[in-house]
Amino acid sequence: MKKFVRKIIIAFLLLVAFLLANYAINSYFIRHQEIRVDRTVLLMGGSHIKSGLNPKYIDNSQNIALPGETYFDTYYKLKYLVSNSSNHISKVLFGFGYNNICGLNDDKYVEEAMSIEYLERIYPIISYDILNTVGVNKIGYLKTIIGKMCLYPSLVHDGFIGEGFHGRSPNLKKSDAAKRVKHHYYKEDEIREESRRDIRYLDSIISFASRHDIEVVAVNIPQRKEYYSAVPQSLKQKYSEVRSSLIEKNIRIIDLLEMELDSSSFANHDHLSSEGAKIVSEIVSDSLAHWESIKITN
Amino acid sequence: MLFNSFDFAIFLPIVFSIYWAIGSERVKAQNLFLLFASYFFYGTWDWRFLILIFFSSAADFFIGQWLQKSNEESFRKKLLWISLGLNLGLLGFFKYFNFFIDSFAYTFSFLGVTLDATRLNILLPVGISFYTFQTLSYTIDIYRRKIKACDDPIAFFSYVSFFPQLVAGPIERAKNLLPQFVGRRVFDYSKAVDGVRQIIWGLFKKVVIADNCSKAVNVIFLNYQYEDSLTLCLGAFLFLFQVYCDFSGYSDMAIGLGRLFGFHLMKNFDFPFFSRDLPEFWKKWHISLTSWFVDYIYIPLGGSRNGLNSKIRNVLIIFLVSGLWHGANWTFVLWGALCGLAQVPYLLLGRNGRYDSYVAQGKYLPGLKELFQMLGVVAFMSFSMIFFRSPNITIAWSYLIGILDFDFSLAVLQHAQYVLLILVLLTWEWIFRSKEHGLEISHLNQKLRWSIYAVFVWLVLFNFGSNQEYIYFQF
Repeated sequence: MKKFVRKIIIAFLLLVAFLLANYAINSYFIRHQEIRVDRTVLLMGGSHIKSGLNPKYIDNSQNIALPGETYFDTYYKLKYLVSNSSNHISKVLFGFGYNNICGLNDDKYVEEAMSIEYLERIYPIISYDILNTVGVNKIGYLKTIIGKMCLYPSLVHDGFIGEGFHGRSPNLKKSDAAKRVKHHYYKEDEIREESRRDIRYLDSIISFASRHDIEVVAVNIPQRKEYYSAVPQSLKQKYSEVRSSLIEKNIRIIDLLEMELDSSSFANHDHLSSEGAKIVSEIVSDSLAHWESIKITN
Repeated sequence: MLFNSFDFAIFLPIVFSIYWAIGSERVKAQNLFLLFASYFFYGTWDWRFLILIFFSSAADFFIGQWLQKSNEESFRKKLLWISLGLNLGLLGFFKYFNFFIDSFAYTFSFLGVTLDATRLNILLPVGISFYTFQTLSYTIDIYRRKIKACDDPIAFFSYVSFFPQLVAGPIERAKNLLPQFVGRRVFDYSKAVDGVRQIIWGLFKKVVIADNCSKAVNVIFLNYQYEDSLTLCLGAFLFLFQVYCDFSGYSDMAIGLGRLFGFHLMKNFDFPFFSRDLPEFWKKWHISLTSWFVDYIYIPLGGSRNGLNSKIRNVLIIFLVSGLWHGANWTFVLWGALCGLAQVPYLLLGRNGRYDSYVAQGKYLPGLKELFQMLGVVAFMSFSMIFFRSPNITIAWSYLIGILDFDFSLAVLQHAQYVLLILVLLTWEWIFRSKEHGLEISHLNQKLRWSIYAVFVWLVLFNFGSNQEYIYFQF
């Protein structure tokens, strides 16, 4: 029995030593890593921006959006980049759609499986203490830290930047608008409330940008009518309030939500295809070049 | 509390330490502690489940006592029926009530009669099918005078609720496991070490193979209307391996855990994909359930004693019951029927049970014929898994139609990594096919052993994402 316990303890200690050594090495690499951001205009937000704005058509821009990114993430991402990037960020275009203020965002760090998916990206830039203030799944966090920091030394810990613009193929026939709306705005058949946390963090982004002389522009990417018209009225109402508050703060809004595009411009009911992204990116670029808000409703 | 969770990683060392600290001489105290630990383990799902398992255990304990004391056959028969009624009644209510109500209403709708079927919002207690069968075997065996009733309620209650195998088996027989609760357990170093190896092997299968395969399987079965034929075939194939690694992984962990506590649990899987025909496959797959059905259904029905027709009928019955045991859904019944019907040609040709030794014994590689035989078994079982995985028969049928569209594309290549993973598993299993489990490496030198442990543990940690529930918990 003693021999068995001794061996188990030795194996456990070896494992812990291995994990801690990797943790220390990776912490060092995080502190000294070079950030892959070298443009002055950043395109930030979730999957709508990632697949909807092609930096090829927007001057000096870089798409660092990530699927499911919330304003909470965007705020800490921006803060980290301003502190750690050598180049000056002059402008940030961020996604501003119904989904950005939806209560689904609040669950992203709470439910274990989902939390791991999101924590795997932001663990180098948001500490546990900060995550804990908005509610984080502790087991999910522990698993993420073990998986990303403790198993092997990695020179690169910049998953929060993403892989840039993701051009999608037109695939509307595989998309079900009702299913997507249900996923985004309903929880067990109940309409989700707005995310108060993300509305708060939207304000934080604006204040932070203002303090660092960064212009922010809100962009609402076109979606199919079947999708946006099915969004619950209560959320639309809230969105409209937030929109008004942005206008009051002189934030430019490029609202292309209801812009009509061919079905080949859509990857699904709420994401653009590469073709759609080209059209929209050119419009956004044009709009940035001209200083007034636009709204295309056709 | 899942075996592959942090909660369990804390629970296990505490229970192990206290259990052995109590000492082998104090069997009753150890059993009491095991009972407490098992109830705690089970209660973490839902404390209300404890009422059910306590009631089931108490009923069978007392029925067992009365069966033992009575010599009057008619009274003993009544007691047996009470036990069967209680156990199967609870199982039927919690697992099958809504299924039968819906099926009943559906059948009447064909006759033009609309029934207002009231469905109940019933929570299915985890593992109820497993412990119900375990307690049933106890009373049936006492009735048959194969074993004596247990006098020690603590030992009996611990036997029913023993946490390593409580929620997903192996379904133990009283004659094997109960005496181990009554007698003294001694810590055996080599068995404990091998138990740890088997736990690592089980974790590897569950976390590295099954959970990874589930990612592709979920996507394919969810979007089956849009997938091409090859991808649909791959979905069924991957699901077969997901189920295997999920369930046999759990069984390996259960057996390994049992060894840590000085118990010997029965083998539940014996490298089933190295079977040359379907009868051999069923001897190697979910062995504890198959043998339960043989002992308590097939043989009482007459087994093979009354000629070929009766034998075929009995085989079909146990496969149908086995299908229904897996879940309250017609898809499972159909799956059982399909597997049962596939046995018929072997029975007619008298070719069931012709393989007793493992394939390519003493050889490095199988012969071409054996290889094709094994591929045939995997192909058939993958096909049957379409029914096992689909939520209803309509979807299963559409899935099959999708395969028969013969629409091929390279989209299947996006899942190539999972096929590679399975090939690695099969290669490893092939090497160890004559062993108890895939990590029985005591014959290797220490450095190599520890290196292998390190690789396996690392792989488990690397894949240790979100805990996926075990598929068989729902059964």
